[in-house]
Amino acid sequence: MKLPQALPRGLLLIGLGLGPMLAFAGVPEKAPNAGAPYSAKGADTCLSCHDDPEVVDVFHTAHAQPNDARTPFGKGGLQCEACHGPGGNHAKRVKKGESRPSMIKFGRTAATPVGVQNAMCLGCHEQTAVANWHMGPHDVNNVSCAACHDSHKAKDAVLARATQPDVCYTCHVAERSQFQKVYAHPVRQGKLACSDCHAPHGTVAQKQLVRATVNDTCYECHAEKRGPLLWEHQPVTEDCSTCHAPHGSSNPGMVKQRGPLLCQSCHSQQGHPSFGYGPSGLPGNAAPATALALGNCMNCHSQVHGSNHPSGSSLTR
Amino acid sequence: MKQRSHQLSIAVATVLLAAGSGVQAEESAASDTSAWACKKCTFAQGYTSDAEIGAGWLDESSAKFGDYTGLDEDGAYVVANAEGGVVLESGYHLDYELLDLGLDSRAASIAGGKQGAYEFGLSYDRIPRRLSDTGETIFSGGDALSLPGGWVRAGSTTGMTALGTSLRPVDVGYDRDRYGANGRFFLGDQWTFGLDYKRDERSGTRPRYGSFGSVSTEMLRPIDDTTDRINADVRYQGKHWFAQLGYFASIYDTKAAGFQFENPFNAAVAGGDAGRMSLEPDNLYNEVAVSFGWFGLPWNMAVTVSAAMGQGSQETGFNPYTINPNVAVDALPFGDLDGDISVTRADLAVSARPLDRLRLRGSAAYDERDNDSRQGTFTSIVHTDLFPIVDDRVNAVYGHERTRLNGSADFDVYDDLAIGVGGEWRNTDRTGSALEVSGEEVLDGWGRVQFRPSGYLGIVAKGGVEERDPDRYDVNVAAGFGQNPLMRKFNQAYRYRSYGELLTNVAVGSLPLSLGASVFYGDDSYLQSDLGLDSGLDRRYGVDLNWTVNEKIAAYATLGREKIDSRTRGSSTFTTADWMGHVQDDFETYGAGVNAQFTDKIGVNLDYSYGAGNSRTRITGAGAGIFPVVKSELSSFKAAVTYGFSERADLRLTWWYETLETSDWSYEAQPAAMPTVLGLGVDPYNYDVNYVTLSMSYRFGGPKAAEAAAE
Repeated sequence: MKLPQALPRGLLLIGLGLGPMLAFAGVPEKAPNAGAPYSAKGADTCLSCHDDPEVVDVFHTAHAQPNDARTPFGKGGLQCEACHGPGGNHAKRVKKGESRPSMIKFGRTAATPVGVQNAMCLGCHEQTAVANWHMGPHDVNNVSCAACHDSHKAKDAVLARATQPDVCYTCHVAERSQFQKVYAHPVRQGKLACSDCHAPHGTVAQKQLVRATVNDTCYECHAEKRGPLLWEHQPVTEDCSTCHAPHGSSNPGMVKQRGPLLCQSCHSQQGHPSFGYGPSGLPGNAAPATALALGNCMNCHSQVHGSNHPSGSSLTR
Repeated sequence: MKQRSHQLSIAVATVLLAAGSGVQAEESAASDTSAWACKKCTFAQGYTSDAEIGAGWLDESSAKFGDYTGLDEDGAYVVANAEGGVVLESGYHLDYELLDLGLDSRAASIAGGKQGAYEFGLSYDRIPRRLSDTGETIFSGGDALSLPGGWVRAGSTTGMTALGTSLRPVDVGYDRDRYGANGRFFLGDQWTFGLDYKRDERSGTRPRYGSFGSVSTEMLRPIDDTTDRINADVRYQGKHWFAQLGYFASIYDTKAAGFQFENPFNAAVAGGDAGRMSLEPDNLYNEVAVSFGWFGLPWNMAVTVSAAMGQGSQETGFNPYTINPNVAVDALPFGDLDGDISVTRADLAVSARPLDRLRLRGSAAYDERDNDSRQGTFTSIVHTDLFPIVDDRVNAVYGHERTRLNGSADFDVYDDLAIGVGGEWRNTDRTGSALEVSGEEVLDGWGRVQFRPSGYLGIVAKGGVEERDPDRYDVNVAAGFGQNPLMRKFNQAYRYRSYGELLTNVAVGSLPLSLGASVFYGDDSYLQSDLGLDSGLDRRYGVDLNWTVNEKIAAYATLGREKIDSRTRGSSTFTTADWMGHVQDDFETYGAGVNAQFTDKIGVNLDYSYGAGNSRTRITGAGAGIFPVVKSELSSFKAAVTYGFSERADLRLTWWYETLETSDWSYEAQPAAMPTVLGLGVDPYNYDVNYVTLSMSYRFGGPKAAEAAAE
């Protein structure tokens, strides 16, 4: 049976077989106030008690825009309960000795399960900004949206270039160290944010990069490296991170290893590329090696990213 | 045929019906919100603005400290920042931000519109690159570097008798000015049109070596270029699906696609007293992409599909083989590369939760770089404008096709314990010419355990192994490059990798105190490489502690360490390995800070960070010896005290103390110590700076202004 002929029959079987099952697919995780009625007056009910500044700051955020029908406070919106769930029971008078019914709470330490928290956010955002959320490591590792975002703050720290890295570093601890190395992208100086290269909401790209490949991500700022060039250096065309450590390095040019050893990990031609350059070749000694100090191999092969010169086959022009 | 068509229709309809019923089951009943007046809702309205003006003083000049910050010259600076905006009752808003206007790192942005209707933004950002301020050069000129009058050529730097009097200090660096404009327009609930334009302009210099035979000179190459990038997209949003069409363009345009330079050394051959270097040529790239997504499908399934096709070109005219008039050359096979890159990409991602406790994820990605650039035989290659190369050379073209399949399953054994397994298969087929290894397969498999008994404790442990299995190593191609047949290039060699990772988050709610810690271990073995990279071992750990002491005081502390060891084998005799390079990179950091609002009027912010690196290189076998340790030590302390002497006005005093000490044998090579290379003589980075600012800030508008406006 050829595949094209089998396709409709297979689909039919899948459809007939799965249809009844799918109709009874359950809700994965229950909210604490699932099934509860909504409050009588919406936000006015909530604000009767929750009127502290960190709560009402939400009215200076994108979520509280009465003129945008897509937001919780838009026309017909469920206001606070759009995110926190129905609060009818929560707002009722509580009998002595009984605890007040919970609402959905957000944050790293919130009692509400991460799945429930995120389901509330994804209810609106999955279809727009975070289409691949479920493919990303943040979802895999059960990170809540509110672990990074503070939707009640007019200035959400993770959305500002200068303050975003500190939010990321709370989990990505090693990266904080790496960006303090002598040669690093200007994250420490507030000129580059993690999200300039990485898509935290999930993507199919490796390392959650903003573009489909490593090189395409690098070309966002380093377009001059795109080429093509007459004499290409093969690894350059394939993956910049073959040689570079983008989070920082102790070596000039953010390369993973200092030359000539880095170059000698690939090049072994007879003569100077294959020598073991020891410290006797350092400047100041009797016969300093041209390939050791300053730009090391690049003292001559300075066009290491490729050359467009007809005589540049050795990457010297 | 007709019957099959019916079957297909019924099948699709059944699946869609099932999908629809599943979706319906998840939706909850809507509430009647018509009486929800939101009288207590204090929506943003009116204008508000914060402006800060003052002065700063930097006590020491340092290019490294000024790199990216703009604080490179000692002396006075203007402190000028402002931000604010206005919101109208109708929902129209306009926001602005001005940052560091008194510095070379200044930035400005403005954003406005009506949320949900249209949005626009304009931005400017200057990124100052200050690469060095301790170098000296003998050259003058921009794209034609000439030697000073009276220059005395010699065979080595020690014989250049006019060197001392000819060197002039030079600052190396460039500015990147980034301009942006973007807009987004919403047509109803379904349609969105977006346009994002960015332009980067760079001007300045950076070091570049130029050689003549076995001697070389470090010079300042010009940078004078622009990059324009356009992202445009149109999107249709259905209730449970979307479709998007996007266009991306990148246009790189340079006025410095090459430079000429005189040879300060004795010319090895007649006419070899000047050379010409090509720099990055103009390039153009266009890409069209489509993507689709479906959500809320049965089994809580989400599916996204995208595909893109791109075309890149590069047609800058070649330089001649040489500018040496004494070397006879053939005609070039063509005047420019007619560079042509075709890019094709496609990916599919599916995630589902068929059971309450089971999460499945899968993706497939394909990308292709097809290099259709012109190839030709170059018959008169002249090495460094001196010597004709005897053999003819054909320019290689490199391309690749990469396929990646990824799948994982995570199962909640208990509410607080989940286990997961996953795997990835990657295949690379290298296309083009002159390939030593035409492709490879990578197989990666991992397991994961997550223990999350509450929001206050989470532990994730992950471990796996990965094997990269390359195709046959083509010794003949390698021999064409003169490679030792035992060499295996590390990015194409067989590699076995084992790795493990532990992430922990702990919170003590009563304090409240939260701690994040991570440990990573990665071990690479290149078991089939006799020459080249032999092994790499990467170990990292870090701890991040945050403590909210009370409503007014918050503190944090961090520490981290990273150790990377690698070994590389070489053969100085072009036979078997007779030397090995051992590199140990060790980097540790720690830091702490506190943010306190001691009284209503006085706020204090303190931050300290420290980072120290040691890189040890040792050669065993031929050329044996131990290199001096490459060291770096960075200490940075920032203090800020804010005194609010009215509800609207603050006085702010800041102090930034930072010291960096480095020792690096690469840069401890003054010209006289390196006879064959005339460097700029740049010193290793060392600075010890204090930057103090005193400023006043004032808040305009705000709630009171809004009330007044309402009245």
